[in-house]
Amino acid sequence: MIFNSLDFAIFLPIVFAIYWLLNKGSLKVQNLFIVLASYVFYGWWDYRFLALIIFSTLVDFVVGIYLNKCAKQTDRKILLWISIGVNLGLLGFFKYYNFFVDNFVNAFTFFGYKIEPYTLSIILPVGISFYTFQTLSYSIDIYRCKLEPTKDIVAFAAFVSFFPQLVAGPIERASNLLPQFYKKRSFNYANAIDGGRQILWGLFKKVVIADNCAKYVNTIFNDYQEYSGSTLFLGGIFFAFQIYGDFSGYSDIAIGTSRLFGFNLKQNFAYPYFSRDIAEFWRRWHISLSTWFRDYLYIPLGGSRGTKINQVRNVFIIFVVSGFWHGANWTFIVWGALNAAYFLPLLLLKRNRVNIGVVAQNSRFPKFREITGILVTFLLTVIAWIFFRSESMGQAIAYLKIVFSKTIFTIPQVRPTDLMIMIVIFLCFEWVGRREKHALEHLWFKYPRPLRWGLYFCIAMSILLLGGEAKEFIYFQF
Amino acid sequence: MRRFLINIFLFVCLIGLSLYGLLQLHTNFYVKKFTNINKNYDIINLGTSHGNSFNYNMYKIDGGKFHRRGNSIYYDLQNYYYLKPHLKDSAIIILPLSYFSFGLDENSTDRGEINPFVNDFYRYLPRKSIYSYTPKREADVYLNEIKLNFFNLFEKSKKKEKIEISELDRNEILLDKVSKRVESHKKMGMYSSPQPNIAYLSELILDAKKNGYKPILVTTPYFKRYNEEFGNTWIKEHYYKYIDTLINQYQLVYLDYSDDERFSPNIELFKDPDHLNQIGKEKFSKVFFQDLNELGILKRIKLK
Repeated sequence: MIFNSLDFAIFLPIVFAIYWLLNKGSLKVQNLFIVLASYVFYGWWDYRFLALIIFSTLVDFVVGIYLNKCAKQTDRKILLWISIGVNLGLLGFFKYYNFFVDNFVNAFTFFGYKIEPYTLSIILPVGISFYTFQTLSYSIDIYRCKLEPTKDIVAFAAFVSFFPQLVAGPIERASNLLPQFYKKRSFNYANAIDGGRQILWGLFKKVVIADNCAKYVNTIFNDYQEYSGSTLFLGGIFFAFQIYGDFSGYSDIAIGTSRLFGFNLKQNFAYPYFSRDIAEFWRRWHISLSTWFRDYLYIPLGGSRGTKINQVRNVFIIFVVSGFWHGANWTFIVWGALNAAYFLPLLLLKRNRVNIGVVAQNSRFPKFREITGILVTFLLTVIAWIFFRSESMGQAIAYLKIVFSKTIFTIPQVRPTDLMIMIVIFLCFEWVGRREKHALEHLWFKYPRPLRWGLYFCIAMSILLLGGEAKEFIYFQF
Repeated sequence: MRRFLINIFLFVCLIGLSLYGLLQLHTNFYVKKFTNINKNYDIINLGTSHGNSFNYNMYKIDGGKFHRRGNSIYYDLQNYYYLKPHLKDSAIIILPLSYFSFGLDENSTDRGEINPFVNDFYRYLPRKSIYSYTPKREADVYLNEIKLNFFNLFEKSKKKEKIEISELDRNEILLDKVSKRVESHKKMGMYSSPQPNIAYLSELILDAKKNGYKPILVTTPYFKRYNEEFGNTWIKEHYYKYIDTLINQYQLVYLDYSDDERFSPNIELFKDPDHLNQIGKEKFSKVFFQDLNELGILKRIKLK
C-alpha cells in the first residue's frame, strides 16, 4: 500500500478509529492490532514476503534474549553473527545476488575464462533494506550492552513492522521506538494536529513536487542524447527536487502518521538543500541512515581518529557502502564515492563541523557567503544525483559530457514554467520553516485560524488537482 | 480527540464540497449530453463518430445524437438501455456501424496505455452496465473529471487560434490520412472475436423490437479511397458477413451509403477519409430522411 493511494486513504481512518477504541483495553491488544494492521499494509503489496519480516523478527527477538543470558563473549559473538548473517544474508540474496554473479562473470570473461552464470529472477521485497537494518541495530545494541532486550514479542514485532515507517523508513533505533510500545499512548491534540499538517506537507512534496518533476526527469534522462547541456543540467536539478520531494515527503507522511497514533519518530530530513557544505548536507539528508552507518560502521572502523590514511579509508568505506545500500549498480557506488570525494577535503582540513546550526538562524535572509555555500553545495549534489539517476555508468558519463559541453550556455529546450513556479513556492515554504521539524510546523503559533485553514485548503487542493501522475515512491526500490 | 475529529471532519467537508462544486461544472461534453436529457426522442442514433453524419436540426423532429468516437457495441447496448426511458413510442433507433465495429472489444482498447475509453461511462451509466467496473477506477474517474473541470476554467479564457487552410491543401492532407486511418481502423477491427459483438447487437435489436421501436442499421458514406484501401475482401470478411447474418435473422432495414456514388467520389463533402463535413452532413441527412420516407419508416417529416 502506498501513502498517496485511495487504499491508504481508506485504511488510515479505519486503523486510527480501531486503534484509539482499543486504547481503553490492554496495551498488548493494541500493540497486536498495530502488528496486524502493519502486516495488512505490507501484505497489500505482496503477502508472500510477510514471511521474511516474521522470520527476521523472530530471529532477532530470540538472539536478543540469548545475548542477554549469555555471559561468554565467544557465544555472544556467535549470536551476533547469526543476526548479522540472517539479516544481511536476506538482503544480500534478494538485493545483490544477481549483481555479484554478473560482475564475477564479467571479471572472468575479462581474463579469458568463459563461464555460464546461474542468475535468478528475484523480486526485491519492498522495504527489506529498512527493516533489516532496524532489527540489526537492535541486536548490535544488545551486544554492546546499550539496550535491554525485550521479552514482549508483540511489542518487538510492532517495532519491526510499524506500518508508517516499514517500507521506506525512517530507520528507527530500538532505543527510541521500542520503549514507546511499552507505554500506554494517550491522544494529544496538538501532536495529532501537527501530525496531520506534516502528512499534508509530505503529500504536497510527493504528489505536487516529486511527481511533476518525474515527468520531465524521465523525458530528459530517457532521451538525453537529444538535449542540450543546459536542458540536461535542468534535468539534474529536477531530479534533485524529485528525489528530495519523494523521499522526504514519504518521511513526513510516516512521521505525521505515527504522531496520529501517539508515536514520535526521529526527523529524517532537515532541509538539506539549504546546507552550506557537503558535511552539513550529510547531517541533514536521510539522517536515520547516515547516523546508522556512523554508529555501526564508521565509528567501529575508527571514525575520524587515527592516521590520515585511516580517516580517508573510513570515509570512503562509509560513503561507498551507503551508495551500495541504495542498489546493486555501479552508479550508486560511484555516487557514494563522489560524495566521499566532496567530503574528504572538509574532513582533512577539519572544516567538516563548521556549519552546525540552522542557516540564517537569527535573520530572515542568508548572508552572501551562505548563499554561495548553499549554491555550490547544491551544484555538487546535482552532479552526484546524475550518477544516482542514470541507469548505467555509460549513461551517466555521456550525460555529464553533454552537460559540460558548450551547449550548457544555450537556453534549455524544456522550460516548464508552472513547475518552476511550484518549486520556488515550495522552497519559500521550506525556507520560512527551516528552523522547525517540518515546514508547516511554525504556522501553528504564528497565524490566525482562517489564514491557516486557507493555506491548508490550498495545499490540499493542489495535491488533488496539480499532482503529477501517481507514482510509487523511489525509495521503495531500495 | 473530539476536537481533533471535528476539525478533520470540517476540513474534509470543505475539501469535499469544493470538489463537488468543481465536479458540477460538467465541462465534459459527452457526459453533459447524457446527463442533461430534457425531452423524449422520435429518433436517436448510437454508434461511433460516424454517427455524427446525421443532422436532425434541419427537421421538425426530436432527434438525439448519442454516438461516440470509437464506441464499442457493448456500450451502444448500455447507452440504449440508459436512453430507453427518453424514447417516444415507435421511436427510430439508428445503429451506424463502422467497418471495425465487430472487432472492437468491450473496453475499446485503441486508447493507449491508460485506456480512458470507459471513463465517461462511469459518469452516468449504472455500475452494473460498466464492463469490468472497479470502485477504484470510479474514484479516479471522478478525480480526473474534477481536475479537467478545474483546468478548463483557465482554458476557457484562452482564445484558440483558427488556422486557415486552403481547399487544395485540405484535400492533400485528407488524402495523406487515408492509409494511416485504414491501418488504424483495421487494427481496431481485430481486437476481439465478433461473436460477443453480434450477441450485444442482437440483444439491442430484440429489445428494441419488443418495445415497438424501429432499429435501423446504417453505414454512413466513406471517401472512395478509404474503401479502396480497406479492400473488398477485408470488408466482406470482417463486416458484411455479419451484417448479412443480422439482416436475415431479424428482418432489419439496412441502409448502406458506404460507397454511394452521391458522396464517395466527392472529396469536398468530407472532412477526413471517413467523416463528412458540414456540407456533406446536410446533403447526407436529406438523402437519409428521404429514404426513410420512401421506406415508410418516417412519414410527414417537415423541414424547419
